[in-house]
Amino acid sequence: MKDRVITLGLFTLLLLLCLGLIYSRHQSLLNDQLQQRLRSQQAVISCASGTYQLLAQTLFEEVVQQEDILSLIHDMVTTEEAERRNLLRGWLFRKLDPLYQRVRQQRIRQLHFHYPDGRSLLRFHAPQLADDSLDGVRPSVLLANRQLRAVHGYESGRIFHGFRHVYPLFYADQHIGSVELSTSFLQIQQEMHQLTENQQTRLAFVLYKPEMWDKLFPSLQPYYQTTPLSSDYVVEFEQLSSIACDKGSLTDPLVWRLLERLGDQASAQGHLKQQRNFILPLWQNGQPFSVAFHAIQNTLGKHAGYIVAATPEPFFSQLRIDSITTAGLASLLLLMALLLRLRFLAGRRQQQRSSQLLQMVSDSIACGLFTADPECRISYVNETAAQLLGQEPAQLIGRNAHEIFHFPNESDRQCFCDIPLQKNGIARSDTILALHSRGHRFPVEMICSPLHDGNKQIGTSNVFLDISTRRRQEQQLLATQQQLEQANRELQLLARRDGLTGIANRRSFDEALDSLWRQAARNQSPLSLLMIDIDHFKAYNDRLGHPQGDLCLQEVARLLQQSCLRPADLVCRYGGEEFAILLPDTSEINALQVARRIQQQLRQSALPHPTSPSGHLSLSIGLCCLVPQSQQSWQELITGADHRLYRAKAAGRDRVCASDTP
Amino acid sequence: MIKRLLLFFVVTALLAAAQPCAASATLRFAPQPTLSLSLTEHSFRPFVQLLEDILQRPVELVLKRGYAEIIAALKNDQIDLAYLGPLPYVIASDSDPDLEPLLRFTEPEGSASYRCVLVVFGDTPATDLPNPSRVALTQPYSTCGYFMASQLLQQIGQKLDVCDYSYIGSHDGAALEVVRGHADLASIKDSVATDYAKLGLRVIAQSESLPGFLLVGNRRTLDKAGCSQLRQQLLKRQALPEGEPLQLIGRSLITAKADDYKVLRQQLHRQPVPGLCQ
Repeated sequence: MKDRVITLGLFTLLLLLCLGLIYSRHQSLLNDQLQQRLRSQQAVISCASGTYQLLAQTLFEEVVQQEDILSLIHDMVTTEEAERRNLLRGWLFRKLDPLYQRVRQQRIRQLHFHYPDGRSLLRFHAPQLADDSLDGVRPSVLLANRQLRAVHGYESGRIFHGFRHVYPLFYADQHIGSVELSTSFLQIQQEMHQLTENQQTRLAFVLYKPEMWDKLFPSLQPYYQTTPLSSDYVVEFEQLSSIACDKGSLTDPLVWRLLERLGDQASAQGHLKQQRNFILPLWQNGQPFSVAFHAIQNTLGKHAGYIVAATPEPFFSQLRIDSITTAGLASLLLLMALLLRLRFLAGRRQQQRSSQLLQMVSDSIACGLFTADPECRISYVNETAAQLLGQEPAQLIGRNAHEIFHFPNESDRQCFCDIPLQKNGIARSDTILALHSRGHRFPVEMICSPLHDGNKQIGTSNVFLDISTRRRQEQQLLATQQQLEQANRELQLLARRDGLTGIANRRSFDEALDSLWRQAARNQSPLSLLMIDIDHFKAYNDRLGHPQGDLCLQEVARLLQQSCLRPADLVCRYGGEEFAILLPDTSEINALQVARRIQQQLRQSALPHPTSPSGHLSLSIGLCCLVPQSQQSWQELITGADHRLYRAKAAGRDRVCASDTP
Repeated sequence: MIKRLLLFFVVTALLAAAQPCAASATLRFAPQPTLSLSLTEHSFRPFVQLLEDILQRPVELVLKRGYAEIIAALKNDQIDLAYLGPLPYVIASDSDPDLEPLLRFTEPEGSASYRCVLVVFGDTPATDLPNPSRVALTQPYSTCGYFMASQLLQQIGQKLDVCDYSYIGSHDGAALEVVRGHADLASIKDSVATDYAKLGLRVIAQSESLPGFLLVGNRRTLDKAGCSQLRQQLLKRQALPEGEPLQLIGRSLITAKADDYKVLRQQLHRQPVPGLCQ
């Protein structure tokens, strides 16, 4: 929430800053254009008025300064007779009227002669009005006649207002009055129109009422209209110009509407009070204009009015479009940035929640979990891992996983965490040793999975489980298993050994006979069987008792065991006092040698037998040797040996009976 | 069906009858003709406002470019009220007896009448003038134009119809033609001649006093009560609004009668103006 508020605040600030900068730039360009327009129009006005000043100067020098004209004027100002003066005025009019008509064509509107005392002598634009005093009305006339110098400048008048050029007149070095050549604003306006033709500038001349109103002939006051701009400013009604046969309009309807608009603007009123040049932008019916006010001063330096120039300014439209577009784009970009930022914040919150959830999950599981970068530096570790390793999570971050986890006794081998990166698959091992902070190592089972960002491997995710307890249990289980196996082996041995003598028992004999019979059959090798019986053993038992009988059996078994030198030979207790010896791959002759060696060793041992005729223990041995044939079974071997044992018994005992022996 | 048709015709007839009433709701006033319609409109706008105040009805300013158009419009009942010069009134009333003179305007200086005069430049005696002379006239419908000039020239022994005369358009223009030397004589109003005395013009003959401009009502479209109300109310005012341009219209009003123009009418009958519709 705080992030959102900060973001929104920042966005608002940036938006305001951007819009402020754009507005500032817009205003700067607008003002530059306006000031440039004002300056260029000033230059045009100066140029136009200068042109007419030059024209007036030329007309004065070339036309007015003629001997006959000056003589006529001299006569007028010196005569005392009113009728003669009037007649001379008529003659002067008649003489100069053709000039005046030409002058009007050249846009000089007034040709006005004055007496030396400043009274009107002859107005060509109103010739019937004469002899009136211009004192207080036309300062330029008084200046020219008092200071005897040319005076140029704007001045209002009883009938017309315009840009005056007043020249003193002399005849025979005598000051005889002055003449004025004037241009009205209409002429200036037309000249400005020609100079600014491509700008479509509309012009108007607004007069400062306090400066001109009282000078006017009262009959002409109705021809002025107060401007909507201010009650202090009037414009000459256009038809007054028509009366004077001027063409054109002093109040363009568009300018009039613009003045109406400006009349409501406080800024315009403020500028008007200063009576200086100013220019304002204005939109009329969706079209932009610059409205320039060029302050006009009269010949006394007092404010006399404004030339108002309204110029269409397509640049303003373009500038406005540019500024609006720029503001729109900036706002859009900022809005997009805001949305991205909000989305980022939402994502980050989601990520934080996910991380917290993941942290809770990872902390709650019993397994240690850590992630490592491709250089095996730990980048994340859960609480369980930290507990298992005896460290704080922060202590583990950044450590190389290989310092903690590695294979036993393989410091030179690669880190286990590298394997999934190399295999690009999951690696699992339960032979990893982890280093506890206290220095001891403990076994862990570890599963390492590669982490991907797209196709790029960015590290590994590693889960490990302390298997110390399990390992101990496994070791105990293994020991128990070994003990069981040993017991089993002993049990099996017991099942195949005779308990008294320690040699193979009958079961073992049967199994061995079957096996050796098959082997001999495959190899077509001889298999010999010695069936051995202790002579007079019942009597021995009866005489010496069973314990002694058992000792006897044990001694005989030992003796038989010793007599069989080959490991493959099998000595077993066949039953009671009978023994059997299987001699694989042994011919009858060789078996007979074994049997005789047994008897010989027994005789050498001279074991006493109280009831035996010889006084010593003796053995009867039946020998049978067969090369197993397909139609035969091992029963035949037993039967043969057993039959020969009986033959040996029958023959008196203590002997060996074989097939070729009697 | 027949009843419905009858009803339709009755309603149509009532509507048609109501049209003139609707039209007469607005008073149509024609000022003196001029080449500049906007100037005339501007000049007479205060007077129109005065008429509206008095009559409490809208007044339409009907602008015409010549007296002939005004006279025709009066005859066709397209104008209710007109501001006419003496000669145009006489011409118009000759053919239209329903024109009633309501009020006369005094001259700017206050006199109830004026004169037409013949002026020359300088002190040239009338006898030294060329015969026939070059004569500058104002315009055909001007009382001081051909109408009075022909009588004044007779005073100095010349006949206008044999003179080289031309219409300049205005009294000032005619006077200046003499000052310039383009004409030997000009027939103009006495007040203009006084102004141009400063340029050496001199009066050599003058007419009898003539009644001035007048306000004429069309009795066919303006009822008697309306005429009477207008006359009474305007006379009460004594002076026209301050904004009224003095060069175009007088400041005060006096009662006008048809007999005031009787002499002019007789003179016109004796000496018609060439080219004017009688």
